[in-house]
Amino acid sequence: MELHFFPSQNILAVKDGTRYIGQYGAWGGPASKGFDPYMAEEPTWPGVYVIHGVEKYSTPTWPLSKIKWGVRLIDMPKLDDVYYELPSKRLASIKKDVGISRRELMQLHQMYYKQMKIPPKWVFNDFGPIAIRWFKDQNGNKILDKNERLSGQMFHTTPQNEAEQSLGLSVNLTPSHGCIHLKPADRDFLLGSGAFSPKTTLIVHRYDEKI
Amino acid sequence: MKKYSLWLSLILSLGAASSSTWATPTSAHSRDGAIQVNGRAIHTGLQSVYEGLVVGDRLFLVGFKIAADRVNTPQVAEFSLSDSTTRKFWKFDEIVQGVFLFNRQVTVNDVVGNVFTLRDGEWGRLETKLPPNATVVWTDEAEELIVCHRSGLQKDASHVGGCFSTTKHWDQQLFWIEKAPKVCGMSLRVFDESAKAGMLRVFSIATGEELSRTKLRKPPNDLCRAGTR
Repeated sequence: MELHFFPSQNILAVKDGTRYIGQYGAWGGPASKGFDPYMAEEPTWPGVYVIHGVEKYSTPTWPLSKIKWGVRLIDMPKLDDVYYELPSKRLASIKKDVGISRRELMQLHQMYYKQMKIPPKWVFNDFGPIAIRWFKDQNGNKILDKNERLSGQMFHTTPQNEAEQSLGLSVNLTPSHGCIHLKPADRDFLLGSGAFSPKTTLIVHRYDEKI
Repeated sequence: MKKYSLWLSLILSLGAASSSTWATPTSAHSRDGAIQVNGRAIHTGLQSVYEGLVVGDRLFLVGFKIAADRVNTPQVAEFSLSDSTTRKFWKFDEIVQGVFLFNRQVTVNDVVGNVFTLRDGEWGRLETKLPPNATVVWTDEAEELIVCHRSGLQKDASHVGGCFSTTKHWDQQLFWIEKAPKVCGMSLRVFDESAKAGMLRVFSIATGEELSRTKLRKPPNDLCRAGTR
């Protein structure tokens, strides 16, 4: 099984042998570098890659992604704060650690889930519940060696799309900073069908290539 | 310039004193929604309070009432500091961002940018609109506001933020997330995080002119003291 991403058509195709057996909506980055002052959008870089695996992703680069999806939250209205559970089970302040107030979280929840409340779990990580990572396999052994690195681009869903799915609304994909955005249901189906299994080949096609 | 805004969350959580020209709330109970003002308890009836403003003997609080299903209703409450029985509550459709004086009137802005002024006990929406999620960091209590709006939190949001004066025709594009800009004396101090290069930038609030910029590795604890020797 191989994965083929066609960025100009927003299609992720699954190929088995010589024929494509499935096509899914998938949005990558723009064809040329963007103008985001914080981190410019970039193309999803064409090339041949190898799927490394699936992980709950967090990164200090984006404030809402400092906390992994699904981490337990404790609403602390009297303190105008929300606490989150650390891996050690101790609680820490979102206001202090992430710089986001209780009302901003509530506003996000209102925007996504149409309810002005603090959810019991963190549902704001920009990369969704899981990210599917890949790498450029320099020596062709399909293993992430010491001199090889995971790409900063990855497959993932967005909090907006997760909320749409959860509320039974239509899921509308949006352009990315270079990652490949998937619909939650497609991600789940592809995961279940083994398309994201480690060592699967991923080919990101050029922007002028069509399926 | 007088600044009345009180960060009551601190008062509620720490019981610490805060300064104000007119009154000084000093401590608060956390269980019953009461706060102490000048040694006297005021039962707010709110389950969460995050901002306040004292005008004469009137205390305005911004917060939420929280239902059993944990849904929050945005509220502005008014209390008399001289008569503990006088209290008023107003429910808002959107989360109220802040309370300040504008054209000598008590005014609030909400997270979508609406601005409301209190007249004769009713909140009237003004034609003036502010950017979504804007914070009024300074007011001359008359016509001028200095307003900062932060960059979008989400990765796929617009990351263009900034600060501007409503009357002096200056507007600075800035990127800030963790640390809200602050007016210290007659200067606006901003920890700008654009391009991952932390920079303390200082602007004149009179002209918007940039007075200095200093590289800083992380957001300073106190913007007013940061970058000074």
